[in-house]
Amino acid sequence: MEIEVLFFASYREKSGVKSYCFEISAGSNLKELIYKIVQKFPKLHSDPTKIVAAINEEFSDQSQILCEGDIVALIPPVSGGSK
Amino acid sequence: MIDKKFHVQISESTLDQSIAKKFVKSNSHGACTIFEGVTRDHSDNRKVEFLEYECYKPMAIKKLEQICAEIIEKWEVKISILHRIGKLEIGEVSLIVATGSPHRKEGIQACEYSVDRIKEIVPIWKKEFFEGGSIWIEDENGFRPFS
Repeated sequence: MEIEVLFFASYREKSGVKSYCFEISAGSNLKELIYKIVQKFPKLHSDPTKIVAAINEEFSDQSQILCEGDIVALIPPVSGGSK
Repeated sequence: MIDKKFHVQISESTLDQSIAKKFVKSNSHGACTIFEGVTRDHSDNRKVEFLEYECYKPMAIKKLEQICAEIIEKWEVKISILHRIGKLEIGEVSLIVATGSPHRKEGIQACEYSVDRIKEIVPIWKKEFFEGGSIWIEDENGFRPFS
């Protein structure tokens, strides 16, 4: 099945795309998708387990199973902290 | 009619404080607290020229609404949050949070809570342009979506 992935801010610049469709097998989880994304765009992150992602606009654990039609967004750390 | 207790907006044009203030106004309120985040001309040792904010809008709206819901659960307030995106010059306002409350304490607490929480869970990113380069401001420690 096909999953659309959205890239923002530093991830958009590192990948060079705003969105990209990945083909994954049914029953795959977010972790498996992120592994594919990082294979395609290795500059994204040195440690894929640390990538935060949202499925259909909700922050999601990497163990979550993906469904046909889901939209995944990779969420770079937001500008913040205590400043 | 149910009185709506919160209002959020993400805009590419100049933020209008009067919209936020008007929304939170009520005859039963004795306090109106307003926070404005303003574009600064320096960051660490860099001289900042301008900023650019980028967002994942549908999710950012949802997360701002979530923060408002958390706030009205905790405090007796009305709240309005306006966030600017796009290019901002030095001195321009990037964020307005307004609260209206019967007494000042809950309004001030709610205002502070919302500003901290925005930085934790709302997918809006800031890029700083300074003399000689640009950088995305990212802070992994400041980002706690699951807390």
